Amino acid sequence: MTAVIEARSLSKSFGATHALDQVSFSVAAGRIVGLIGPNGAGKTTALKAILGLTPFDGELKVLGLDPRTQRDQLMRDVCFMADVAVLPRWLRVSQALDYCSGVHPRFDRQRALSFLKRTDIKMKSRVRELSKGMVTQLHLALILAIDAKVLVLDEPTLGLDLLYRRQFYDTLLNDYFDKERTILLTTHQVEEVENLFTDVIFISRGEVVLASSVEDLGARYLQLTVSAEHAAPARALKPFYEREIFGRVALFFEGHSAAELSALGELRAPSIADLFVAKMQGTMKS
Amino acid sequence: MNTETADLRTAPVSAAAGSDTRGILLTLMRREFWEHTALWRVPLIVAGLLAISTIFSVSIDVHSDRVTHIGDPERIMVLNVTQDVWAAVIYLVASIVVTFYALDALYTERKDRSILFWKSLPVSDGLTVLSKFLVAVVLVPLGVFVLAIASHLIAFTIWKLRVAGGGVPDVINWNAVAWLRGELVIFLCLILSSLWYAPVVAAALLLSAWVKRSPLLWATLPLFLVPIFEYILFRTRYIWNFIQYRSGGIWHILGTRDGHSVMSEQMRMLNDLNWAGAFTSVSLWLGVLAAAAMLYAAARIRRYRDDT
Repeated sequence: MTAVIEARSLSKSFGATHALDQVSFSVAAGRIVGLIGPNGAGKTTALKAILGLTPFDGELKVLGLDPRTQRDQLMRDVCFMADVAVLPRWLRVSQALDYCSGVHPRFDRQRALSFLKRTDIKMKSRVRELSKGMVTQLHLALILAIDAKVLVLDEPTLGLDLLYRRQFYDTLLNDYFDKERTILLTTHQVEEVENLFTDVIFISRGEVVLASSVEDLGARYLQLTVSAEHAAPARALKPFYEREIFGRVALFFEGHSAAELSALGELRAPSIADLFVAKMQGTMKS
Repeated sequence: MNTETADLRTAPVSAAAGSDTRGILLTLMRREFWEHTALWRVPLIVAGLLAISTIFSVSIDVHSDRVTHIGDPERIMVLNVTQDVWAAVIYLVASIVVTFYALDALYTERKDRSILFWKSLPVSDGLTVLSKFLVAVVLVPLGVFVLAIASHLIAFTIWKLRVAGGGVPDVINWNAVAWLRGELVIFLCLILSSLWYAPVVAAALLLSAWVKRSPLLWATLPLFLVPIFEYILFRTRYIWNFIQYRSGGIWHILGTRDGHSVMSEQMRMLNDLNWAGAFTSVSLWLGVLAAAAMLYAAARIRRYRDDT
């Protein structure tokens, strides 16, 4: 299968800092990919490169197109939402619909309307009169109505309360996502959405630390929990990260078989959030 | 047979692409009037005030004396002169609004980060910049033209009603030919004006796409500071002369024929004004070229401008 996004040696510097340093990754169709990294790791720069919003060095193809030179064509099939604040405050809901149907050949007004009907948003309202949560709902309605192949979301639920966040991702999953579509998502609230991902890419200081499907993660990484006094034999197997929780020690292993470890303590696949922390701390140390 | 089917398939597609671009451009221009409501509100209010003011106005001559009786040719002249005044006042106000609009058009979207929303849709930077330029040099002047006609006709009717009521002297007369000629002069002047000031609008758009903050300051301060520095350093006034020429030079060309001013012969303006000289002026078309270059630059800057 051909990749929807194919990045090879993607680089971008701001002065002396490398926002992206020879980054390579690929994203297949029909996946929900979490791009996860600490602040300033280069996530947003990577997304901007994919969306043709920033120049970069290296090779990058999105749906077979170069975002630097074929952006206008690319944006017919790619949709993105930066965060909740970017809808202009003067815009009326009805104008947002008029505008999108006017400029986007694949905008389905009825779809947007039927989603908006489930909310408290009024057609006459201006964005400045809506709450933050409602602005997100409006933006989501616009995105749902666009028949795009790739959806890029950069911290789409920043600053929203739990109910809106939950509704946002539920809608995305139930009303939007299908096998033809690809979603690329960055967020700080990894715990909340980790069940959503089919793939994760960890990025730190401009480099890809880990890129894997979620199924493969379970086979590659294991978290062993033992009481502190029984940690020594487990430590001998060289975990790449460990952390203490209420007198017990969680040790993170890469490339060990379950059979090898299960005798030593409680074994399970680490959550993506835990794995992320483990990987980041592990890289920082080395 | 084969080529025929191929033709049938490709023809509608390219036609649809063409109408797509037109449709997108229309939507983009509508958008400008949603955001910048002053673009239509201010000229509309001024046109309304001008029309309503006729209810209270009096007729005076150039010496501010009350006019009580004038002959027929003068009455038609009054028709033409008031047409011009109506259009000029509304145009003047609209051009102030347009200046602020052009300085704001590519700046606010960066300031409020809404540029990320506009750029999430398949609209090119070139088309976006073009839409804002066309609003300033085509749609607003066209609106001024229509508003001036409507407002002037209402004012004319109000005055005639007051004449019928015996309150004011009959100083204006309807003459369809003279009226049409007057409107034609105004229309041609609007076209000339849009072409002449196109580089000014384009420069304002370029600044609004370019500067980090206060495009208004960037637009006004250099106009005064640069000529002052030039004078202090070189004792010359080239830049100041250029600014003055760009402000009103075209009207000088239009009003001069064979080295003589034609402005005194108001009655036959359409025939007397130097249209050929104005529309074939080299600096007019150099300005249009400069405008195109600046619009291109503005689109390029917007392409990768990242303040977010």
